[in-house]
Amino acid sequence: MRGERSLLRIGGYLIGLASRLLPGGIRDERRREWTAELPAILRDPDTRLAAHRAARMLGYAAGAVWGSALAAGGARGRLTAVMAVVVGLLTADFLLLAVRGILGVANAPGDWVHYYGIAAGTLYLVGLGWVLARQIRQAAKPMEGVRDAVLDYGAAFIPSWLLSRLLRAVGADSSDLPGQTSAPGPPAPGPVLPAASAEQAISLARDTAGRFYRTRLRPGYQVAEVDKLIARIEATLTTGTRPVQAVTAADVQAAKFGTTRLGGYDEPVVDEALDYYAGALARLALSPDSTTGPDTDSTDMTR
Amino acid sequence: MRVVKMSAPLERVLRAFLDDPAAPRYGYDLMKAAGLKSGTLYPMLGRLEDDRLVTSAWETPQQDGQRPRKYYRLTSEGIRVATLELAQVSASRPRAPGRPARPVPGILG
Repeated sequence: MRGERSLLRIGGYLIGLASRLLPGGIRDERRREWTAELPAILRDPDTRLAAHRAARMLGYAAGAVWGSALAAGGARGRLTAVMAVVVGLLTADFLLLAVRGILGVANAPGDWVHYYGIAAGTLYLVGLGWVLARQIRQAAKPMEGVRDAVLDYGAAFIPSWLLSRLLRAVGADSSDLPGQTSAPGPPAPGPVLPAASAEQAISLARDTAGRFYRTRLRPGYQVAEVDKLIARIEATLTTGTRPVQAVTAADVQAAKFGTTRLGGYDEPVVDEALDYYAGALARLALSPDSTTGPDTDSTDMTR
Repeated sequence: MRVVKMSAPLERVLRAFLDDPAAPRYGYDLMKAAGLKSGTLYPMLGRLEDDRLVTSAWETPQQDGQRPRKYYRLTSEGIRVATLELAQVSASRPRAPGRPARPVPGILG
């Protein structure tokens, strides 16, 4: 595609702005993720027109700036205030344009300039009304819809680079966002299964045991092998805490299965379920009345 | 069970995921499938990931020098919760026009 390199540079610049608005914990990861998507969008085979793909790519990058700005906790209120002023001024301006057009038509019907004024004002107001209606319909409360609409519509008139400056000007840069409520950093390492207790994990296992999603036309795990391991895990979990577990979390993490050519258990789904099992086993081993636990590192399921 | 606050964009994302729960989905694919903007999608994916309904991973680096992309898929818990939540949404909206009642493919069992 012609101009691909410069398009990617613009996109990359916007992504840089976007990631700077994010809290430090997820900044680099998001930046890498978004940057990798840009060339994929430019080469998207589903979108035929090159110009369309380019517009999509830039829209994607600009949207990332916008989303990061809104996700940045305390910035939202200030941003809404700024946008309300922007949209308010624009609305007043276009209304004035339309009114002047109408007056002008009344005084001098032949002058086309006045019709343009009326058309521009009407277009603006219709657009605003449409965004308002859509956002209010989608939002849980009408006022939230109005706020979203103001943010959305304001964004249409403000280029991303200006938005980023604006955010910094109102002090909404990520450096002073201590809350980070809506965008926490990566989960702490260690036993990462959240509130789920061993019992919950067992009941979850009962739901899924033997009922994994099966592939039809793709390779998968050998059903019998998976079932065998799960039966052993379940036996261990249901007999409760033992000084030496028949199956440890480390065993589960290290388990390997033969694969089928067509049909079998879907691999990611099985892996996911085994993660839960491993967590349950590790918790069981760490429970107070257990004397010797297995390798606790095996609860770290980040892969 | 975790409480997921359902919204129209979230519903679309979950439906996109459930179209093929086992398939890894890139952010841009999800945007196209759900008809959402990147600014809406990524914060939502972040929340779903925090709730452990979605996991993400980096694809293995390709030979052709492309940067590895990050992909997302539902966890088994995510499949369960998404299926239940969408079922509840459909139940509370029995005759939603334009949305044919079709079984979600790939449900366990």
